[in-house]
Amino acid sequence: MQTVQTLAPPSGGQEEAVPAAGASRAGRLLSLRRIDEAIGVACMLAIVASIAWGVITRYLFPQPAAWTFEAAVIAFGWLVFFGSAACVRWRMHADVDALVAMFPPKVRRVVFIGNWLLLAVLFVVLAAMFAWQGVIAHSIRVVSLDIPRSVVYAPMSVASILMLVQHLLLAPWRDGWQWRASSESAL
Amino acid sequence: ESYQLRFSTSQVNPNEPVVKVMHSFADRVKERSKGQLTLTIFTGDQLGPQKKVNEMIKGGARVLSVTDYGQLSQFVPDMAVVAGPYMFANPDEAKRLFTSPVFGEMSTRLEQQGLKLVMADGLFGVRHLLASKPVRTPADIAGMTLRVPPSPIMLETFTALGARPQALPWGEVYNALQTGVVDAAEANYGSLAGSKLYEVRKVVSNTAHQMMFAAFVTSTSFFNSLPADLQKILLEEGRKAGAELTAATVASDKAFAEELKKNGVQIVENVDVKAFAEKAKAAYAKVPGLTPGIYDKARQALAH
Amino acid sequence: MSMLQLWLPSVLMLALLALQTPVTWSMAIAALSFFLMNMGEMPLANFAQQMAEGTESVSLLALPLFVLAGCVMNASGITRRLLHLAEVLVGHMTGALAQMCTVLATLLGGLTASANADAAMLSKTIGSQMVQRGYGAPFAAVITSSAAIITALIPPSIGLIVYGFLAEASIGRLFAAGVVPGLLLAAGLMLTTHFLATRRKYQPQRASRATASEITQAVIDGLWALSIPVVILGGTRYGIFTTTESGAVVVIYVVLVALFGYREIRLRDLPEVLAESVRDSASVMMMICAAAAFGFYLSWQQVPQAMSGWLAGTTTNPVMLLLLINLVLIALGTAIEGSAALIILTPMLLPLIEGAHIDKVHFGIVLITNLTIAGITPPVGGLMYISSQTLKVKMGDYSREIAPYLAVMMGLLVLLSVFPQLSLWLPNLLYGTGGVQ
Ligand code: NA
Ligand code: NA
Repeated sequence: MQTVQTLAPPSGGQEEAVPAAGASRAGRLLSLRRIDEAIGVACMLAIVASIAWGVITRYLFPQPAAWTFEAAVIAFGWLVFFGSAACVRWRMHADVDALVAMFPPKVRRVVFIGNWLLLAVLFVVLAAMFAWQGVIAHSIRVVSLDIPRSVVYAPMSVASILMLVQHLLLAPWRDGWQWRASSESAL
Repeated sequence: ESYQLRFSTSQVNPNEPVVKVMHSFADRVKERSKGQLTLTIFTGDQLGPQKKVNEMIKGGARVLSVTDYGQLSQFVPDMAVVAGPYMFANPDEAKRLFTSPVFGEMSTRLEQQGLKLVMADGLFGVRHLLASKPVRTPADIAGMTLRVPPSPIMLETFTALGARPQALPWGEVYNALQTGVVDAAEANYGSLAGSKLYEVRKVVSNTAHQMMFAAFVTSTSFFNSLPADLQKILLEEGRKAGAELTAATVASDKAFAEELKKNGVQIVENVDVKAFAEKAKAAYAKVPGLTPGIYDKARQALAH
Repeated sequence: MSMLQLWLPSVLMLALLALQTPVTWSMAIAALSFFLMNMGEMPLANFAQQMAEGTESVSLLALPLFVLAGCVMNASGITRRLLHLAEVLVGHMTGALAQMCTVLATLLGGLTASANADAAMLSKTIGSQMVQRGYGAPFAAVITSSAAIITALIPPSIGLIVYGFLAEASIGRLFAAGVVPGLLLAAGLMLTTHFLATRRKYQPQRASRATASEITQAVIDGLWALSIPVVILGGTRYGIFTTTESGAVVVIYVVLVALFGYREIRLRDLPEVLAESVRDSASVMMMICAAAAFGFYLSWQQVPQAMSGWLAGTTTNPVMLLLLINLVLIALGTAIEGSAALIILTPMLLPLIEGAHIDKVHFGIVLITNLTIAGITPPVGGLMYISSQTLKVKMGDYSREIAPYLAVMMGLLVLLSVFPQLSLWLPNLLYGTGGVQ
């Protein structure tokens, strides 16, 4: 059985530690490079806290809090998109290499470059579309919290930009666009 | 040019009055427009829940959505009064509000938000209370933990009545009642029968705290892009559909009440509705975003 | 509407998938292509709205919470103790860990309502232990994701509640009807595991049965860990919190046990554990979001309707009809997510079912079983994504390992379809045969 490889820096290839233990390798959580993960962690804490608050108020307070699920769902959305930016860096978005592995090296390289460019374009489109959707939703009110619904979408636009940044920082040109098999972290 | 419009509802059951009305509306529009405007019906939230579909429509999507005034108050907060507690004594009184300048002004604001009302005034149901004991006066629900939909007006209504409203998603209601997370729930007869909530609570008290009206909304920009004759067909058929829905709901509520009784539900008729209405009035002052005085204006419109 | 508009996004998704574009982004790009072709009917910004929609579900909110609970349990020695207990109890059996996984899933099935949350929990705990002990990651992913299906049948079950709402069938009867099929599924999985483990000579964990004192010691050592299911069970059964809320309560309880009960983890280790749970949740959820956007295209173009419409004209024999419906659902289930299919298909299939005089509760069990199995059939399946992603398994390897288990599940589906009594015996016993349909 192979050792798990999750953190695959561009120079990579050799075995790395598992994520929890490999934290020092990944850098401190409170750093610019891991800002997406730090935001995700804050969202996770917010989800736990707000749902727990809903349970607590139901038993201890005369009126149960009404906004807790709504707040948790908004934090959930941010968690997924910011966490997804971190997954771009950690190469955790799974792919299937069964067919491409059979191609000759030159074709593989073309496919690899094509995929990299395609995803860069996708992240730009996502950032733009979330910004646009934020504008559309700005005059809609979130039901219980009574804030504009753009608070749901605008941070997702920022997260999409971070996906692009992490994608660029993978810098595949540094090793001459060398094709990679599905990492062990992939399906 | 011919146009295709997707017609979306949360309702699943083809025998629900609103689904039947959707079909007859779609048929008449197609016939009168000689096939120029066709509607395809999507039941059961296939295109997504109302909140999401309404947002798509605001963005300009070619969809006609069956929605309610609780949902529309997210776009125009004042519309919450249409879904407010004890606003109308009967559907005829409601008709006066829907034809009043107060409502006309609200629907203009909704139109500026990107949502065009094609039908505004179809009665969808009257909400009552489901619990394990009869509720006849506000004192009977004091301190009762009660599931409400996540809408400010409903939360404020039951807070004013002295209960402990708990906003929970509809999908969790059955389990929440069964395990006792909440003591009670509230809905119209149709939903109470369809959701089988009577398997876990056996007493329905006719509190009639909310008269729910359904609306059909589509995108303002799409509506304005239609030729004048098609616009006219939609609005005229929309008016017919509203009256049709009100009649069908009144009739089907009787059938649903029978179904509930057949399943061992006790229906409590002698509820002190006046006492409830008096106490619930405080809710109108607490809902966020309401224009000051909008409740009084709406009441005045009802009087005429 | 042209054939191109109808099929291009599907073809594009498969092509990108084959060309090693990540699964998530293949579905997202395919969905985007649909919005690009339909800009006349809705604004392109709706693409973003559809991507975000997957996160606006309160029932999926349980997923990150149970993932986090699993991460904390792994990092703090709670999992180790639970597994040690399992080991002294059944460690002498062949393929002990895999069998434990099914047993635990059956027990968990009575606690939780979401197969997705259970797959997250099982793969994070038992799954990773199986990998460490040489079972092979693909096998571990297959058994954890397959076992999670039991949750959907043994009450409480989100799928059965949704079906009950959609079909206007009694939820109490549906819950009772799921018990026997759920246990049958557990038995089927355990037999398959036994067969495979024997053939592959998976070693037992220990040479001989544990002594009474060893077992006592393990139970005492595991008391804190054993109290966790008691908290979930007690809390949800006695109405202190809902199923979704139980996720948050369990996280807090597990953290307290880890910090003050076993004291193997320090407060300053928690941020990295949290970060791990964020990454694990996000990679799965983003896939579910993209699948939801792709599913919107299928709904908008009424692709499932086209398939079920074809069914209507074929047969009125109830058994044949059920088997045919199963075939179509399996074909659809490879490509779309179970919960989406449930909402779209239930109202369309019901008239057929009523026409053929098939019991709605019986059909509900067949439908939920089938659509939950869809979660483990490649290339689109939530349970498969969750287990494979957690255990770092490739889809190709997963597909090979799933084959024997899928075969057993197909067999079970045929049994459930042909013998309504397997589903209806218990509800008829509890509620009688008359009354509510
Ligand atoms: Na379950
Ligand atoms: Na599948």
